[in-house]
Amino acid sequence: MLATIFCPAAMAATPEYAGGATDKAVADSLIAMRLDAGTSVRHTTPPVVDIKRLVAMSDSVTYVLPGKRYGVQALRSDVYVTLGSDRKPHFVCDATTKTRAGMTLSNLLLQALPAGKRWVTLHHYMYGGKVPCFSLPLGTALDIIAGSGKQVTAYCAVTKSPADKLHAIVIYHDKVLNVLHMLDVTTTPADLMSDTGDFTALLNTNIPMSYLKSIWGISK
Amino acid sequence: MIRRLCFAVAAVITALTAGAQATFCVNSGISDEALITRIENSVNDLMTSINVCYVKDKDKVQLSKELFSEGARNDVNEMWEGTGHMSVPDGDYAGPVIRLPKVGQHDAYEVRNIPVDFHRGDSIMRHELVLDVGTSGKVFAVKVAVEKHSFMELMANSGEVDDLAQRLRVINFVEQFRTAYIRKDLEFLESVYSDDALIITGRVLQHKVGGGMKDRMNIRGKTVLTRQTKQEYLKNLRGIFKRKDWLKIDFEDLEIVKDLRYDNLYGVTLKQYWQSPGYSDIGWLFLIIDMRDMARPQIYVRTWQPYKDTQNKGYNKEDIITTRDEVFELEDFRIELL
Repeated sequence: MLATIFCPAAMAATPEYAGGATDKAVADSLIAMRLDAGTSVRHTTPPVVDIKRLVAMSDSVTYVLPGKRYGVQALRSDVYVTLGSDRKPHFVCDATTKTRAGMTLSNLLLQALPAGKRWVTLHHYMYGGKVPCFSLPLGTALDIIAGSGKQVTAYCAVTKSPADKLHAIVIYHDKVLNVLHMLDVTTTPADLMSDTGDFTALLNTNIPMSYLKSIWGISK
Repeated sequence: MIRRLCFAVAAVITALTAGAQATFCVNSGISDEALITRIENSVNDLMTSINVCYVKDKDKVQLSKELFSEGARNDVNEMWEGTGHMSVPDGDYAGPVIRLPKVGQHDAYEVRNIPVDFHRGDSIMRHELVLDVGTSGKVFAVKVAVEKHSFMELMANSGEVDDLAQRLRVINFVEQFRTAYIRKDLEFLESVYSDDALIITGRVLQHKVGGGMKDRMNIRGKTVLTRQTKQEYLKNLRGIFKRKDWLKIDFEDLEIVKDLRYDNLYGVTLKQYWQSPGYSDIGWLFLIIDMRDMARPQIYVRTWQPYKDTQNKGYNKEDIITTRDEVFELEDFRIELL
């Protein structure tokens, strides 16, 4: 009787998930099924580079197309370009230095650069402690995680790693559902620059932001 | 030399009227004196105009149409609108000119080392402007330079990204935890509660009144805490799962606190809204979660304290049994990880 009069749950925001999924378990399974099938429709197109919006970096060779940032300074949707002698932009794609390799990795994961035949072995941390492993083309995996693409913005941060490795975190934020997916990617400079290079990734999906109040606390 | 001196004097006079003194001269990159003069003229006009706009608190930076293309004027004013206010700090600045790849038939140059302060409230962020100029000295683009090695700095500061990633994994686990109750998934709950988990459940103290009829009092602090083992808690939960056709659980105001001593130990506080046929409550849920195994985090502590006494028939929506300050915290428990 009381429950019908007083409906406390109406006060809290219940997370919503893509594809009509009723809860996180179903939503995670939908992504796992797509990863298992290994097929996707490409929704994401490389960003259009407006030269007027480019910001020069101090090496006078590289420019950044400023995007948005998510949460922390390093997590950004920026892409990196160089200008040819004809002033036409080219997405940075080399690993001559660790910095350039980082820019290339960021460009690749944000799908400014085509993934080619690069392959990813992906561990999906699903509801219920299940961690299935999928092996599929990197481009297909990125398309599946980005989902419809229209309401999802991807942010990438290249993080510190040993000299022979490259590591990046990609966050996919669904602005409408206020849900995140997080991809934790590791590769090597050689695999990055190989059209058939191997990547490994850890994937967390359907992380709701709707009931989050504070994330940065530290104990006293 | 005389030309340089005259120009510097003129620039200082102009700047003084604006309340700031900033001058710029080219120190390397090109040797064409006439071009150097034209470039310096444009840069000094830009610095002065920005400071005039800042001092007089104008809405728009007024730039010479002769010295700045429409695109460059738009760049500056978009910057002005985007930052709120900006100014060029006092000083005599010198910077290089770099020849850019040709655009069509025209030579183009890039001028660097022009400082600018972006004012946001009480804070000031120092940046560097980069100007693209033609051979006439006319500026056709004004941009903010990315700080030297900024990409490397972003990488160097990636510790906060790793920290954020782990905290997002905590939220991911909390959502699995919520889902498990709704799905009555005892197997999952058994696996995530540590075998020696400390489980504390609060209830509002009951008072006998009149002929022995139970009543609940909405008095703050009148809460009884009961300690249970994992087995006792799960046995009770199994009974609830059997008796209730459905459960609806929602979370609100999730706060994550990281333990100072152990990198992968987190305290999570949230408001829980529990609804089931014939029963509902609102309470503070506090969990201590060990995230060392990403696939199978472990809960060491679970406490629940009533937020409002929703079971009282005379329940007043405004009455709060347990305030946020009274909710258990990470510091209240001593955890030793092996």
